[in-house]
Amino acid sequence: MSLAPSSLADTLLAPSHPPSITPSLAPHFPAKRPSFLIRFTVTSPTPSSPHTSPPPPPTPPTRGLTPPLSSALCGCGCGSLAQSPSLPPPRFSCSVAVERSGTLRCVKWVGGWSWGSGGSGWRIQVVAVLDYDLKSLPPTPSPPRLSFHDGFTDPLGWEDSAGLKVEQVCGRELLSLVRGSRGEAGPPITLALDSLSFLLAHQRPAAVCRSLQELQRLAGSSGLKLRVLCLLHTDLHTAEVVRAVSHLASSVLELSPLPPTPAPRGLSPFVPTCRAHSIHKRRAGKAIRKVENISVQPGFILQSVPELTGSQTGAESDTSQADPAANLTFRLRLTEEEREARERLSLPFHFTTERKTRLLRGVRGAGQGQIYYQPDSGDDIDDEDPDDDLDV
Amino acid sequence: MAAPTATSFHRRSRSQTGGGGGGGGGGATATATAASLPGTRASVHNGQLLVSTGVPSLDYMLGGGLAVGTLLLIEEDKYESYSWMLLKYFLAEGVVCGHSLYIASARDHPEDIIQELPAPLLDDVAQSTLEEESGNVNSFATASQNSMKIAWRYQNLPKVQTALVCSSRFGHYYDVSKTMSVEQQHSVKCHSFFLPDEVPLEFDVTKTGDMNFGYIKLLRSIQSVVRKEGFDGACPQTKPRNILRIGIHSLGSLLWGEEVGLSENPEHSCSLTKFLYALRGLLRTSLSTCIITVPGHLTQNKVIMGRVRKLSDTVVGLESFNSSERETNPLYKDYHGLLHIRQLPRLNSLICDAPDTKDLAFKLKRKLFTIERLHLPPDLSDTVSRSSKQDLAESAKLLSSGCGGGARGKTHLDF
Repeated sequence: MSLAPSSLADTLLAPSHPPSITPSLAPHFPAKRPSFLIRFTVTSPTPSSPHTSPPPPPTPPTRGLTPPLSSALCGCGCGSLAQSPSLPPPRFSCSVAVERSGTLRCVKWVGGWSWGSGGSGWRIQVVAVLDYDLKSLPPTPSPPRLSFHDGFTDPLGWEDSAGLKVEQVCGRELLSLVRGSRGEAGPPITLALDSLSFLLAHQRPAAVCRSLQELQRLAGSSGLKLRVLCLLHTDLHTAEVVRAVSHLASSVLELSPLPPTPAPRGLSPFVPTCRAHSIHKRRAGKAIRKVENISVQPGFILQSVPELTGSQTGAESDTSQADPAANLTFRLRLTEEEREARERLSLPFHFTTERKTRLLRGVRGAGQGQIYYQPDSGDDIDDEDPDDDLDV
Repeated sequence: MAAPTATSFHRRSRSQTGGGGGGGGGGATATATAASLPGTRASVHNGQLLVSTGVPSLDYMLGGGLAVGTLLLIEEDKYESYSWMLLKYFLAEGVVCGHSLYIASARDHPEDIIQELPAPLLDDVAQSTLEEESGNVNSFATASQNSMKIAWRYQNLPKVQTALVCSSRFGHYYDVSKTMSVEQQHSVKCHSFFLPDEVPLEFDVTKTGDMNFGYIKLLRSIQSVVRKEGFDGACPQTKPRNILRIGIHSLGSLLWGEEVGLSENPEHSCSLTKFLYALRGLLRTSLSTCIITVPGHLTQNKVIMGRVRKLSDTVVGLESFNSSERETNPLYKDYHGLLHIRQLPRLNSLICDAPDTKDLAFKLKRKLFTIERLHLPPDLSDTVSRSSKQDLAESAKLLSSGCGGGARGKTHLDF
């Protein structure tokens, strides 16, 4: 854990590193469609959360200076994780990217990205990062499959620097950027946009969404396998914008920090740090929803931690399923013989099948009386169900 | 004389297509064309010319089908899966009946949508599955008849008919797991409108005039198709007539450049309503029907949705259990979602053909999308109990606590 991010990235890039991405998230990522959009949502904890002092307003990060800690926690409000004095200093700031079948993983650090690409096989991902959020430097010996585009230095083109501009985020520009020097039929590419919030603040939401759709369409028509992964800070936008943008995504992963709880005895020592609500909309049929707790372990391995609700639900079911016939001095159940005997018993007013069918068919036997009743206005008919008090 | 025989011939054919009840005087022109148009029939209620939506039970709910010249608005479910299915059924029905199609979308290219259309089932296959189901029901009924011992008088009660089926068959069934063959896909004429192709991205769709530019382009495109391809009902046509089915996907989403629900005071807050008004006027005078899906759950503003609904003829809302907590409710375990009929058209009359119940649920099976009446299943398990009654019983027991503590147990008791 004391490694510098760059060397950690190298460690992660080593092929011997076991791929251990949250396994249950993996299989639902569509394999056939060349591109899809993931929204990564980071929500701030509720103000009532005990350890949370209200995070200071995100100060605009000054270029060239080390940003203060509060803004280094990427201004998403999840800085509260770090502000509890009893906790260790923050390791990551709630932005976790999970990719299919463990091929790639990235964990957003405080002020930096760590990229890992493990596993083997044909899926080689190339990642282009468009960083609009914070000055987050790429690891100094840049990993070979990672290209990093700085959108932070000069987002509005005031300094004529070579950085990425906001207006460059349209389909064609992004595609040429992503493709870069690669040929036509290259390996699949994942484009990570950090973050969509900045773009949404500078452009109309419709324009941003149309740009992303254009990018996917162009990529699809040129045979490039492209996935787009966007981070969105939901607390910076109105609920309508968040809903409308996530409506267009094919998968949505919503991350929210968990309050730090002491690890229960007998369970894994890794406390889940973050809860992930994932929704994968399939092209046909139902959408798949899932809730998982994710913890980051040493070496930036993401691990899915099962929900710790066993104790509560167990207690509830105990009370509801309590057998009232458990401690009785007499027996309330029937044995098989008794049950058979009861079945054989004919009740005093029990009709034979022949008589029953005759009655049901409406054929009345000779000599049987019938009641013809004409209801009139003076009748006092009780509408209530006479069996209402029966507990059935 | 030749003319009277011709009219009597028309009448007979009308009564054949209409399945019995003649429509009377009202839609004389509509019924005259009904005989010559494939995939249509006259309504038994008002003689209006109807086409099928591709889902027979939805046809039943809407009074036999979708009237030509009207607009059906579908409010999408949250993850858009079932409204997407309904749109595909509508288009596939058009392909099977040989109607012309017009597909407009901002997300998927219309060519891709056509390739995704479900394969039609042969009529006897669907019939046999239906019969099989009803046969199962019947056998179940006979079995329960034999087993009924105490409450045997209830045996004569008719079985609750949940499935909504017309008496005469209209519309087809589709197999969702297969797609239509390529020849069939190209057997009909299809016009397409793909927003990114029509309106360049650099061009801001909201920066023109007082209406969203994408909507203007779409209206003009539909108008030119209606005029040039002979779907115009106003002027006499020489060519053989056909029906135009218009399907517009996810109108009013961000991809159409619509930002109505997003800001407090958007510049083009009336764009969508203006478009619907103009489109409806266009539809009324043409041989076309239109289905529009709208992501209604995105706009929380009830006024806007109310206007949009008022400007459509028929409005149907889908609510899938997939997105809500209701998925786990035992009441809904047989269904995939609820169907809300928000508005039914009153065509050439003051009343509309309202369904007998508004509690409707839908389920999607591989070969069948059905809409059924939602009713409580018999409560056969001993753990599920209706809470209010249980509470009542509990309080009653508390009052009369003197008698029999043994009767308190509710479950697992034989007596």
